[in-house]
Amino acid sequence: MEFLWGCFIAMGLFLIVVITYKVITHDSSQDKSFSTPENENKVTPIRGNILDCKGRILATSTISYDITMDCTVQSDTLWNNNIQALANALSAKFGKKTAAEYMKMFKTAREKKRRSIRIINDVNQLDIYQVRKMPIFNKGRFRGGYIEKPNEKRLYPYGSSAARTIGYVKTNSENERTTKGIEGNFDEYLHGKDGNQVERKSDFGYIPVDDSRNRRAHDGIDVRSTIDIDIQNIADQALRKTVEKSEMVEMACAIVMDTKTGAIKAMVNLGRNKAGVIGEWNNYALMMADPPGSVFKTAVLMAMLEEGYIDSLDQRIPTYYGIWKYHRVKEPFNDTKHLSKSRFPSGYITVREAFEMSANNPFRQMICDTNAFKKTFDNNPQRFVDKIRSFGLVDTIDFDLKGAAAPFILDPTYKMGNKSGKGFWDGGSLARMAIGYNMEVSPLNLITFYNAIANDGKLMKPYLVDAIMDEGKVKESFKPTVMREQICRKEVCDTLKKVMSMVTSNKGGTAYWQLHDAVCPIAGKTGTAQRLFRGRNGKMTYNDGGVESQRGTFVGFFPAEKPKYTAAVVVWSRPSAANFYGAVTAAPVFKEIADKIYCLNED
Amino acid sequence: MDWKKNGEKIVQMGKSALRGRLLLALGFDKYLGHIVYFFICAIFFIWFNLQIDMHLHRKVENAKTLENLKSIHTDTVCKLTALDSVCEVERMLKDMGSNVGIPQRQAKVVKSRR
Repeated sequence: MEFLWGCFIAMGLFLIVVITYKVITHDSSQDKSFSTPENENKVTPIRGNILDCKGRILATSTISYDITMDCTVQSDTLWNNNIQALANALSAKFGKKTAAEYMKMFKTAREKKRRSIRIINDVNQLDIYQVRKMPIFNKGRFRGGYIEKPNEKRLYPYGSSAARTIGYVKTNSENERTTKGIEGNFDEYLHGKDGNQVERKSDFGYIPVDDSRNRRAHDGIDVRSTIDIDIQNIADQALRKTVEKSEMVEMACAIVMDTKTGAIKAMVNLGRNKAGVIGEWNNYALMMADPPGSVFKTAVLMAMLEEGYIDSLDQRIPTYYGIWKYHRVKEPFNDTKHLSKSRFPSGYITVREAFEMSANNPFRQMICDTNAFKKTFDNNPQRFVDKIRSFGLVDTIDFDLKGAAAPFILDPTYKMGNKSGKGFWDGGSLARMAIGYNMEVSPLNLITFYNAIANDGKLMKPYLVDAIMDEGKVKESFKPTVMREQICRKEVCDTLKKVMSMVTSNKGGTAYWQLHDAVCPIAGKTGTAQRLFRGRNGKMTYNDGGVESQRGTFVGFFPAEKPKYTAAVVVWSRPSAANFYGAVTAAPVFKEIADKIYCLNED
Repeated sequence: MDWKKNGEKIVQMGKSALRGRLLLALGFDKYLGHIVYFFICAIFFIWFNLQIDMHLHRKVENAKTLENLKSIHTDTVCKLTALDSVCEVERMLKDMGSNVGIPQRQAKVVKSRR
C-alpha cells in the first residue's frame, strides 16, 4: 500500500515537472530537439521566356550541372580498377582534357586526399544521364564520390544576335537582377514571384509539409518582342561585314522598323572593345546622340515646304559659285566642292539637285538668305526651331529600353552662360543648324522621324515589346502608339518621298552608285557629320590637324512607293585623316538589308 | 523501513506487471477488446503515415523528373531554334556546297481564278 502511494506520488511529481517545463517556463529553442527536423527553403521561380514576333525563343531557362568529385571515399579496389576508364570516358565525352590529363588530376587529388575537385561545369540535361553512368560515378555520392550541383542557366539560342537589345542574366535569383535590355526592363514579368517551402525529414528523405510559412512560387511569364529574328540576323550579318572590313570603324548600328506600326523589327549594335573584339557592347542606337549632319536636310526641306517658303522642287537657288557671304557671320561659307562654276555654269541650282547631291550652301541659303528667297527664317529663328520641334525629331521617346540619350536642339534663347552646357546661340547658329549641327539626335530619333515621312506624316512611337503571354495566351498587349497625328501635310510627305527616291535613282544622287541597282526601289538620305573627339592636346575638338571623327548615316524606307519598312544605318569612325562618307559606309549595308528583306516577302 | 524487503517486493511487482498480472488485478481484462482495437488503430496510423511519406517522397521525385524532362525539352528546342534562322540555313547550305540561298527577287504569288 505504501509502495503504491509512493508510485502515485512519483507519477504526480513527474507530471508537475512536465507541465512546468512545457507551459510555464516554455523555451522554444528546445522545441527542435523534440520535433522532427525540418528545412525552410526558398523556391526560386522559373524565369519567363523572351520570344520574337513569330513566337521563336530568344531567351529561355534551363538547368545545367557542375560536377565535382570527392577522391577520398572510393575503396582502393574500385579506384584502381576503374579510374582509367573514367578518365577515358570523360575525355571522350567532353574533349576538354585528354585522358592523361584527367589521370594526372585524379592521381594528385587522391594522394592529397582532396574532398572536392572540379571535373566539369555546365553539363546539360542530356549529357548528365551519361555522366551518371560512367565508371566510379555510377556508385553515387558515398561510394563513388560523385557530386553534382544543379544550376539554373539562361539560354540564348541565337548567340550574340540582339544581345544588347535582349539583355543578359545568368540566373533568376534575386541577387542577379539586371537593368539592361528586355531582360532588365521587363524583369517584373519575367522574374515571377519567389516562394517558400517547408520540408520535414522522413524515412525516405525530405518531404513537403503544409505549413503557414509556405508560399507558392509563381513562375515568370513570357514577353513577346517585336523583333523578327530573321531580319535581325540579316541586319547583323550585313553590318558585321562593314565593321570587320575596316579597322577605321569604331562602332555601328542598324535599326529596322515597321512603317505602319513603329514596331522595331531589328536592332543591331556592333562595336570594338579594348581588345578589338567585335560584339554588342553598348546600345549605340539609343545612347549615341550626335549632330545628324546632312540627314537633317530633309527636316529643313520639310520646314520650307510646310511654311510655303518654297514653291516646288524645281525652284532655283543662286549658287554664288560656292562662296556665299552670310551677313551675320564674318567668314563666307565655302561649298565650292559641290557648286563650282564648272559644275553649275548658270550659277543656279534647283532644290531637287541640292538635295540629291547634299550640297550645304543651298540649305543654309534656304533658311537664311533673304536675297535668294522671299521668305526665310533669318529674322525669326525661333520659328524654325519650333517648327523642327513640331516634327517630333527632338522629342524624348519613352522607349521600352532604358538609357536612351535625350535629344537636343540649340534654342535662340540660349545666351552665353546658359545652363545647357551645349553652347549658345550666335550669328552663325541658324546656318550651322541648316546642315545638321547645333543639335544632337540619336539613331532612334532619326528613324522615328523618317518613318513619319514614310507613313504619310503620322509619327509612330517605336516600341520593342508587343505582348505579355502566360502559357501561350496573351495576357497584356501593347498597341502601336501615335506620337503626333500629322507632322506635316500629306503633299509635303509625297514631295519628300519623291526627292528622297531621286537620291538613290538619279545619277547626281549621293547614294546612286550604291543603291541604284537594289532589288526594290529605296528612298533615303545619306549624311556625314563630324563628331567631337579628344584631340592630342586633351581638348574636345572637331578637327585636330586634319584628323576627324565622323558619323556616316543612311536612313530611308523601302519599297519607295508603298513603304513597308524604314531603316537606319549609322557608322562611327575612329579619329582619322581618311575620308568617311555615309554613302560609302552605311548605304551598302542598307542595300543588303533591304534586298534580303524584300526578297523574303511575297509580292 | 526494511529496504531489502521493499526492494524484493518492487522486483516481484515489476515481474508480475510484465506478466500482465497487474493489469488483471486492476481488472483490465474486460477492456481487452478495446486494447486490441487501440493497437490495431495505432498500427494503421503508423502504416498510413509511412504510406503518406512514401507518396510525398515519390511526388518530390516525380517533380524532379518532370523538371529534368522540361530541361531536356528546352535544350532540344533551343538547338532546333538556333538552326531555324534564315542566315544559319544559308550558312549550312553553303557549307554543304549547295547553290541554294536567299531568293534574289520576290516570290510571285499565283492567285487562283476561282
